[in-house]
Amino acid sequence: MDAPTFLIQVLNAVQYGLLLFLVASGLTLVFGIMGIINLAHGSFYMLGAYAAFVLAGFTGNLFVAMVLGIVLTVIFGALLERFVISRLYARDHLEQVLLTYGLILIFEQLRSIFVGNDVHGIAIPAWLNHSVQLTETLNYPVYRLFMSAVCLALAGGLYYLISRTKLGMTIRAGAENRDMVAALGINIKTVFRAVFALGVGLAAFAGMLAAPVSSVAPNMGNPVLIISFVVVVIGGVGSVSGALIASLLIGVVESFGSILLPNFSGALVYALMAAVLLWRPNGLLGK
Amino acid sequence: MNAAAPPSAPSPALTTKGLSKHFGALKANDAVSISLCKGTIHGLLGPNGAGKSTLINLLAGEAKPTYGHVFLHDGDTKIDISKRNAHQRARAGIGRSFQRSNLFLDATVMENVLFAARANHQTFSTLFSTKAMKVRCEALAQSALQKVGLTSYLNAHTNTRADALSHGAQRQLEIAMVLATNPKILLLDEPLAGMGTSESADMVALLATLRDDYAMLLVEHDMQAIFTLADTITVMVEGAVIATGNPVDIRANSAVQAAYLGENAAP
Amino acid sequence: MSGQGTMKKPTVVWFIATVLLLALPLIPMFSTGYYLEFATKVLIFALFAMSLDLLVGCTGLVSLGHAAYFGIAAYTVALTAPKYAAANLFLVFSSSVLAAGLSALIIGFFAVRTKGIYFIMVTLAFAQMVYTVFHDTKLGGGSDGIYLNFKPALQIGETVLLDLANTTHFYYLVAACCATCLLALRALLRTPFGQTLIGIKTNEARMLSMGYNTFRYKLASFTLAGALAGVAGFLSACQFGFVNPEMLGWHKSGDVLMMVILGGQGNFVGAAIGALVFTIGQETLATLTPHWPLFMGLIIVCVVLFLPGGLRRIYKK
Repeated sequence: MDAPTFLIQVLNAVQYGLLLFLVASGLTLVFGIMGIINLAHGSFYMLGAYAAFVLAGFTGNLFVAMVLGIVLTVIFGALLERFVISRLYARDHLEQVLLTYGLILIFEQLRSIFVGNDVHGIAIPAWLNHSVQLTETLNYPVYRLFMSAVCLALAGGLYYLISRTKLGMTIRAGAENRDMVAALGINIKTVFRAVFALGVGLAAFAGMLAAPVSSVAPNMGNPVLIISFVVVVIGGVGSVSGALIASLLIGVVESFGSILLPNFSGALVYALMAAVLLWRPNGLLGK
Repeated sequence: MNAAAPPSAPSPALTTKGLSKHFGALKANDAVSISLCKGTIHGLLGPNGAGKSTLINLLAGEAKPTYGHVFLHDGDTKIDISKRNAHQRARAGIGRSFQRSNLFLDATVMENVLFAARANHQTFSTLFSTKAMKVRCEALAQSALQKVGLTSYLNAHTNTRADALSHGAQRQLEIAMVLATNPKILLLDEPLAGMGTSESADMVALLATLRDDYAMLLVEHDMQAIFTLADTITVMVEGAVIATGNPVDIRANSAVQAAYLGENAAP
Repeated sequence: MSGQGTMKKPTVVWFIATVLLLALPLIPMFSTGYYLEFATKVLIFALFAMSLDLLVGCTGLVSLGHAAYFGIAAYTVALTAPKYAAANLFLVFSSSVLAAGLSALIIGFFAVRTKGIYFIMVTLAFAQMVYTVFHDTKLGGGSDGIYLNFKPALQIGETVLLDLANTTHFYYLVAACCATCLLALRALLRTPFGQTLIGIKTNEARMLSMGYNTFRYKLASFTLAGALAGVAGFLSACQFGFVNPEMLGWHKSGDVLMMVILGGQGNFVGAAIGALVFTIGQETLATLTPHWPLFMGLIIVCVVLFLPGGLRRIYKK
């Protein structure tokens, strides 16, 4: 592997890993703090991509569409928590699995009814639609660099939110010990709603960001959901830093696996998960 | 009112050395060294949050120590069991009861004890039950029920469910389940919790009958009971042992009085 | 509260079970074609759901990747069957069930170490790994799957004892598998092994503290459940004559979990009834609208929100 190819794989690994982190961080927080297993999390990713597609069609500008999309999905997340998810806190995992599985069916069909079953694409904005020349034959799209930069900024923002703000302190305490937060007299309902809406927003934003380079297609949330589960298992339930490490690890394994072991690339991530389970059954940074 | 001191220095059955369990900065147990001997009852006192239940979990293998060791003694040989899991320790002769009754409530009394009796006899070759195993386990279960005084449930066809028992009887059943696993060491986590006066007296009498055959660690809030039963008492505060000795010394110990016994020093 | 042991025998369930079991041999006399094939399909799902019930209802392990073992067995049929002749029924049957059981043993070795949410995620992830293997490689024929040119048959010399291409023969084979499985699983629950599984579901910490190596029991249960799902997968491949990645996709795992929960867990009869209700419901909705999963989803959400405890609670009353 020559240096430019290696560089490209590293860039791909980081970009994929960071995007994955946006989806998985919400998932791990919802698991860790609210004790909810949410199968519908992948649907939020799909929702984001479709929101970007539809809103970009209306407004004619991808960035306006993204801002609008974030606002709408966060509101949607808060409403979903208020009317559906909040009723699940006292239920066992089996019922949570059941209900959120039902939600996936509903979201997929609503998508099918309102937007159809076609595969769509979104144009990359002109000013980002360039490539960086690495060698005579290899180049790297600027939009992917842009994605990495945005994800990195968001990860930094999330770090600030969790380590420096009052909400963040509550979130950390909640991931550590759920009963403690309630005992501290903090309004746990508001925290739960904020965390859930944040998770929805992050997953949806990941979908919007990825839409121009992947495609907007039915069932696009499922693979993302399952790989996010792997992230949470590897990183440890409730650990945002664990999710970041695991996402980047998976990015590296997927990106280099597809070059070095093309026949097994699909299974490598799961082999990684199996190894972590043997070594640390509660994840790298899990309790 | 103290139990007679054992005749000669008894040989230990279970000892710990520097046993510690830290959760970050919180030292739930810090350098705990105790020794349980056959034929004695070792009382463990301490205010809430002193780390008594943590110690039982460390001894029973439900939690792994941050530092330190647990040793199992067999005559002069001493085996380090710090790395063993809960079920391995149970098979090695450590039986524990739980603070809150931990019964199979919708199974019958007999089924509960049989579960315990089978634990040590069931291997993959006897999964589908041989007659001999059945007979052996029923004998074990019946003997355990007899020891705790639940004699009306000895018949395998008595269909009373565990949840139909009174609180006191449930606590007795809890002890019977521990005995039915055929242990050498008993770790009893507040067997008197939630009991009325007469139920308590019955349980104290029951525990006294178990003294000779086992090495017992008795965690209890009821100080009257501890001072009546125990041959040795260890007092823990904030994860650390502050005193160990016979009941007379413990009652006289000024550190214990200051830290724990406080206003109700004389039980 | 008294007078009841662990082995509860709800008479209603037994009554339904007996009626259904007695009706099984009679179905081919009254119906052929579509309805017979439909009955066969329901029985295959019933078998599949019962195998999951051993995990969910009896051992307390909520697996969201059970279709993997169903699919592995189905693919084994397609991959081991000769191209231009009917396969030996006995050989393909045992190899596919063995393949399913063995993969469950290997995956279970990792999965059973985990609990609760982790277990759900890990089983789902490993099932997706299996899906990826068959979907993305030449081995599994990609997303189109593989066709079976000839259905397996059991013959001695030239005499065909059982020809799976014959729908009536096939129906009887499926019914026999299903009934055997039901009776065997119910008998299993009464053995010390089965009682230990129930003990683990009820209170694993207590089982550990009494000296049970619960890991082994859970792994044994996982493997057995995988092998039984393999029986169902084998039959399914034989019924439709082709296999595709959807057979081991996670929607399949979700569906079968739904059947178990719908019918009530832990007694196997409920799982079978759940399979019947689910399959009929699905077929009926599908004839009404192409967007039938929407209604399925709404029903599921409403049942969980407004009927905690599921349908079980209704017929318990």
